[in-house]
Amino acid sequence: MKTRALSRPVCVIAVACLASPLLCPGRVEAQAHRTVLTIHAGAESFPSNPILDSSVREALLSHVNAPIDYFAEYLKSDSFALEDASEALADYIRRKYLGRRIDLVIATTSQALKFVIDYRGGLFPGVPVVFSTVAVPEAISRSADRAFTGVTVGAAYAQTLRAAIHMHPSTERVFVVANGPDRDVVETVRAALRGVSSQVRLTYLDEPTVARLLEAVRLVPPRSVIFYIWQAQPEPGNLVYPDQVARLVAQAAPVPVYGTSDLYMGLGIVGGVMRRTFETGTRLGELGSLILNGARPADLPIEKARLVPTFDWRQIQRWGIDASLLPPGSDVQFRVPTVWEAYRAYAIGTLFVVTAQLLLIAALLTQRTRRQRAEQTLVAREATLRTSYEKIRQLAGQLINAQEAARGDLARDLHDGLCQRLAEVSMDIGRLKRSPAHHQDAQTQDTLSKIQGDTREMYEEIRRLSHELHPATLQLLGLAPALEAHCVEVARRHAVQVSFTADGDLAGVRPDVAVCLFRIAQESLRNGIVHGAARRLTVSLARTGGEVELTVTDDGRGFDLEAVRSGGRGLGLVSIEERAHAFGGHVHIATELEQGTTIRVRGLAVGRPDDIALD
Amino acid sequence: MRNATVLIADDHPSLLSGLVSLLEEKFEVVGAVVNGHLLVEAAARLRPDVVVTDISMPGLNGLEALAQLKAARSDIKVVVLTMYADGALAAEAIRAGASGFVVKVSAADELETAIDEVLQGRVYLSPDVPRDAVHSL
Repeated sequence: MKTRALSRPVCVIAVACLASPLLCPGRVEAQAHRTVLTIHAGAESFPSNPILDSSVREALLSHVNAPIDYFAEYLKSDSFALEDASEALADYIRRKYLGRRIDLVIATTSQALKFVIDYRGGLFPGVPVVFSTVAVPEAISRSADRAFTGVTVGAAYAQTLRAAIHMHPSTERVFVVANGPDRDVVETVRAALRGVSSQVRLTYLDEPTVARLLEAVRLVPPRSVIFYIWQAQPEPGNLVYPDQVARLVAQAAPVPVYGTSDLYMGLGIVGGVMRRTFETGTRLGELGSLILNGARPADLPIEKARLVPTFDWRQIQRWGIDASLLPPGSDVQFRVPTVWEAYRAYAIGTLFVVTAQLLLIAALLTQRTRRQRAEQTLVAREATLRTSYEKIRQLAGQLINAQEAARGDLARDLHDGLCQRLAEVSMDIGRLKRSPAHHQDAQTQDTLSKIQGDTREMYEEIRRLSHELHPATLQLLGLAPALEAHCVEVARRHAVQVSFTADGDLAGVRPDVAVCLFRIAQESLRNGIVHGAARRLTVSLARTGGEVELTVTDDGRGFDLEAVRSGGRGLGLVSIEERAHAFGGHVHIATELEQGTTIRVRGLAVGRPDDIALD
Repeated sequence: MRNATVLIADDHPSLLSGLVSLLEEKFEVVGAVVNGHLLVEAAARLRPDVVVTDISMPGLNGLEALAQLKAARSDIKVVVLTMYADGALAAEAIRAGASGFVVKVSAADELETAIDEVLQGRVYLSPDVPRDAVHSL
């Protein structure tokens, strides 16, 4: 029973795998953990190591189907004697990885590879090795063991030097920093640079300490470049990595500094022909992945890392280097956008805004000019208008006087002509009525009486007309009596109450002023009664000194002065004002709806002395 | 009883002659002049009982002449004969010393009466004149 029960899920899986390969991505073995161990020569903090670790791991993860255990160990041969460090690390690994099968070993640098070769038999027998070194060690190239593959990461010393000299054509001297405890390596560099150029003189700055090196760097003469490869002299108590030294050298140097490691990029060097540490790590990971996925190392040829001329755009700018002198295919990093590139949007925006503002300003200026011109025109027209207005007022004054004169003439003609004649007729009829007997029959008497009555009516009619045209009493009696008589007449004719007062020497008021005042009083009374339905009115005349004042008050409906003025109505008001103006007087009108009206005119009793309107 | 002497002043000659004809029937017309100056001069010379004068006359007008006449001879009677049936004017004339005020159109009917009245020492005011202003006297 038990056996049957256990076998059922296995059968299900087997069937599922047969049915769909997608559900079973690999063999059962491929699912087991794979362990990869990387051996670095330097300490964990050595600048290239974290880059290599991360790029190797990333490549492994993306190319290997199985779960990966990744470990890195550090020989630290830069700080300790290689033999001792190697032995200690071997012992450490043996204990640490006891019972753990290592599937792949990666060695970065020749020292790490030497360690792996030396201890492989004991530590990782038969395990494939992927390495990155400057050159393929003889131990590998001659060995029959085909478990090794990797990448050689040669440095482009000569190319970098050539490029530097090319980019600085006036260079006379090149100061080379290639200083380390391993004299073989130093000699490799010197050999590579030897004979590169007959144009420049090479000087090696073999200073035992960084401080001394920087002193030497500061004294480098003009028309030189510094070629910093590495300063790797161990200094007790002063652990400085080559990239840090690169930064210090670049800071201290009065001339451009070149280098061959991408780790120095961005630290102040101009650049050089160099490999990419990240690329090396990635390639190591990829080779490792192929092996973990089943490839044989022997089938994977040893590769050469790509060398790329790489430059720092900021340093190119700083040293004024002609960009056309850069080697073809150069990778220019840290390109800072030009002001134009960086602020193009702002610049265009600003330009747009400024242009818009300029246009606006121009438009406003144009508008202002136009407005000023319009204002000038306006002022000129206003002056013309004022002149015209003055002329019109003068004319109005003259017109009023002319009208008064004409009316006076007409009144006189009617009065002295027609009225006199009618008076004569009337008198003749009267005499006829009393003449001898043959006219004295009743019918003749009736007819004569009727003719006399008609004559009297005609006479009265004409006399009234004449009086209205021009009050002859004004000349005969003077202003106050004439006005008083007029008040009486108005009161009688309209059945209203009109009171009159006079004060001061009104007999001396000049005739034309008297006519104006009389007419104003006449008009005011008429307005008050006809338009204001006034029942009680008062007229007062007063002379004080050289001035005469006429006041006409009524208890009528009053009116909206502004409305009447702006409405173009109130011809009576206009005539009052014009008449007052004609003799240099001023009119004050106080009125409100339902509040009655007071019209006050004040002016010189003898008129304007220079009044040409009265000429 | 002798007829009262009358001196007439009016600047309209035809009317003046009409007046003379009118008054001759009952009074002794001693003179007829055409302006105020002549009136004052003639009155001083002829010493009439009554002066009948127009108001509107060139030069010295009737009212001004009236003042001079009354100044020269306070007992002289003056009848103002005018075109204007005007109360104010009538009041002014009477205030200045006139005893009668007759409107020309009514002269044929009223002038004799007016002269008679003033000779009796009374004041004659033509019915044509509105009473309002005259009442103020």
